[in-house]
Amino acid sequence: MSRIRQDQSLNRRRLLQYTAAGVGLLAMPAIIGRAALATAQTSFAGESLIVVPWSGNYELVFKETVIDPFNAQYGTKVESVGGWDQMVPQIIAAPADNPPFDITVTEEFIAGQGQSEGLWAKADRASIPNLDAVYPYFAETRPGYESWGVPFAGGTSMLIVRKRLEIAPDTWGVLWDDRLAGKVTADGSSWWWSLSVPAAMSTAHPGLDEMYALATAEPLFAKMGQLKVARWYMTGAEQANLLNQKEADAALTYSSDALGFLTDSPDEYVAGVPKEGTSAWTDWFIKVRGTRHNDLADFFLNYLLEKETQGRFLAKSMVFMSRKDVTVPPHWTGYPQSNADFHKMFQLITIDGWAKINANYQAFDDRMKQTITRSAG
Amino acid sequence: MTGPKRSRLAPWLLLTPAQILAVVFFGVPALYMARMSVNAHAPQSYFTPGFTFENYARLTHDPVIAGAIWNTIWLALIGSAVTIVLAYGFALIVWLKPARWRLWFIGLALLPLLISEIAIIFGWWMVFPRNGLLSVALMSSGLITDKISLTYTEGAALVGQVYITLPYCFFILLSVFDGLDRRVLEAALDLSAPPLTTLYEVLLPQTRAGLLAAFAQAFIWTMGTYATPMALGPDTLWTLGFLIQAQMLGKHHWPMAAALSMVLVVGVALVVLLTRWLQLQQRSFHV
Repeated sequence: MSRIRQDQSLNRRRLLQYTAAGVGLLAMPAIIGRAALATAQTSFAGESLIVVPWSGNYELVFKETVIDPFNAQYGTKVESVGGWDQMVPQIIAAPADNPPFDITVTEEFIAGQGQSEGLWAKADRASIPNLDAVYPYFAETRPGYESWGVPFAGGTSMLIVRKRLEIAPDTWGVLWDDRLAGKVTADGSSWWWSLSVPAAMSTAHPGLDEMYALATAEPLFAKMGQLKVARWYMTGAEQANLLNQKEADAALTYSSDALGFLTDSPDEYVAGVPKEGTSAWTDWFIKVRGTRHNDLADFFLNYLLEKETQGRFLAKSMVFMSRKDVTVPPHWTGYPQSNADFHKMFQLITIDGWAKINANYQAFDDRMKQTITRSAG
Repeated sequence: MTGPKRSRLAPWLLLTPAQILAVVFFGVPALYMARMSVNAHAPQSYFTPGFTFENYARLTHDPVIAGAIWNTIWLALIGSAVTIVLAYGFALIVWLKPARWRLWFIGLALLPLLISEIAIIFGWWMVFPRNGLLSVALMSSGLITDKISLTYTEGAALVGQVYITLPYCFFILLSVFDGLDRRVLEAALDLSAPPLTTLYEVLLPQTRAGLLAAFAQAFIWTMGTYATPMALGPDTLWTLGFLIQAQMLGKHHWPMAAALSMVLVVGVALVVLLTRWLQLQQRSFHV
């Protein structure tokens, strides 16, 4: 009797086991595909994460198109904190095991600086499958640093011209055009972007290499000295004022500002990336060492690279995204279509380039002040 | 504790909270800044712990820094002088006006203090350019025939500086005027003193201490500002404040920024000490 019961019991147990295994086998593809999502929806709910996504309009768009949808989907408490260039000192000032934020955006300058200070934590590549959909350009232009963080997007220098002048912004040479004499403005504060314009025009060296050493940069400074500027702007607000007040008719601007000009005054300006290509930076989001939300940080980094996330952000900005398959909005004419296009159009001031500039920064800065003084007459 | 001893200690005890605040919020940061100014610097870092006077040595031979020091001083001197003249006149008018006008004038003087420096700069950017309010107003009134632009001139930078410091000086001087007996003016007029003589012989001697305090206030303020001269002045109007922020944010050379800041602190301290000495001289003269 007991044996019969045991046999029956075994049969029932075996039957249940087989049934469970069968169901499991049938559902395996779905389980594998949704494991991360299902885990995230339960294990990350209520967890907080602080992210620095630049400041100003970039932060607003990032919050609206990335953070808010992420929180809505996973029940997390991801927050953004604005920042431009204070992230590294803030991390240094905080305890190593309790950084002020978990993830920060970096371009090449900040990435290199944080790297030399040992402030970054490596991302878990296995947790970020979306990296497979990213243009190789991003890793190729950051050799040796690609395992730190993920590339989200990138920004560029752009040329903007007053529309009624009917001068197409298709070459940087426009800035030296006699029709714009005394009506040009360029960046006198972050002067390296202004210096990158003649470097992008020059074919003497690959990329922007010419601007990394003072000797090879001298012709670039000389070329900049020939600009007939209305004013070297020091801030984005000043650039906007110079254009809005018609003190300047053409400017070296940035992708983030250009969209604002084109959106606010579509009949007033025309902007674009000139045929020579342009200087650029890439926005890599990197985990800060000591973060207490390591897994959520990796999960968020992967979310940054999802097609929908990138599409939402691109729809409200004029940056270039890292994914290959984003939907390009109508306002972004001439968006790069291939990895080769990225290399051709966007010349980075590389991390190594920054190291070379920084080694002689004061001499560069003094030379820029000479240029400003001479152009001011 | 005996009565006299307690009364001798009382002022010090009363001052203690303020002294603790001053030490914690000003003394400690100033010492930290002084220490930072003698650190070394290496590329790709903010500072390297060490001890060097290299940053101070650079102050003596760098033409950009020398130019910035000169720009800072002349802007502060001229700006402060213009400010106290305007503030003195404004405070005198308010003091002499009937009480019903007083609140309106004080409200007017308070207005710039309610707006941030950045917003004020934006305001001047609407006034000074070729297509700005000033140019249009002058054209409309027939005073000029061609549009003019005053943006990015030393004059615009000075106007901006004066506008920011004027309210502070006004309130200092108004409080000084409020301490005067108006009957001295009546007495001077009764003795047939012309208005200018009354100003020089009666008002100025009695308000000299307030003038010195107002001048010191304006000078200290204008020495430290960088946004206004940078945004309204010409491309080459580099001031100490501008160089400090450039060293901090652009070059990330904290020791150099700290050394420049120490120059500013010492300069301001000298002005404060000089003002205090002049005030004491005047007091001993009156005694």
